[in-house]
Amino acid sequence: MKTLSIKNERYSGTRITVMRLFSLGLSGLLLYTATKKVMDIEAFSAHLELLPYVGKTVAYMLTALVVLLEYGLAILILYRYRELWVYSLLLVLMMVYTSYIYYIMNYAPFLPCSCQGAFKNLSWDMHYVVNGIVAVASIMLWKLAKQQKKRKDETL
Amino acid sequence: MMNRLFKILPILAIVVGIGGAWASQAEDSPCQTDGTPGYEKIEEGLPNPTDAPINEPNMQSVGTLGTTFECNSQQPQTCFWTYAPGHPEAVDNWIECIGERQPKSN
Repeated sequence: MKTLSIKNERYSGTRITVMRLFSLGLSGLLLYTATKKVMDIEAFSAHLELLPYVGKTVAYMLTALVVLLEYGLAILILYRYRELWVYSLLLVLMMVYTSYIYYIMNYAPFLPCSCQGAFKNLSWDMHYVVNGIVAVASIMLWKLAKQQKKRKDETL
Repeated sequence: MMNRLFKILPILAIVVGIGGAWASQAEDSPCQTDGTPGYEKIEEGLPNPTDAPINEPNMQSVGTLGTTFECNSQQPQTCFWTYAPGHPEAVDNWIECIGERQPKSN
């Protein structure tokens, strides 16, 4: 019984370490992308203007919203990495980004240069891959956080 | 030991995330970035473009840098134009990239 308990504790410790490391990576990525957007805020806003019904003012408001959301999520992932809703929010954000890329690539009147994006040499197609990796990581972290929460509830 | 490390790592993530973005700023030039959509003037004598490509009748697509063409930067001529609103290098939203345009060799 004691051996089983020690094994469970070790497993739980490993799970928390994995969660911590992945959350650090995701958080660093979000901080990086948000800062890049702030540094090239005019360009990012101009790209958002390609969306239907989005004028200059709405584009600026969306830019501010996206940047604040990314910084906020990064801090939450760093310090609230056991919360399930944080990863759900990240997954929703990735789905919105993927829809935006799909629109840009298929329906925008022209393809803007992606040079002002998060990664210098990342083509628009490759953004799908990055979004997919982040989405898979957030699902994995969500599952780990859920298991951790369940385990914590059981011990109480 | 582990707990102390995990207290330092969030600060490290913040420094690396924000610092990395600042450090990579200087490298971002559409003229050197693969995947940049390129345009050329249909008629050379006309003024430089100012509007988005769809509204510029004198501009036509030449493909994307690194995929369909490359620029030999030794030659002082226009390799391609790219629409990059808000970019610090842009004049009237467009950037003129210098070099000789050559088809991308595989």
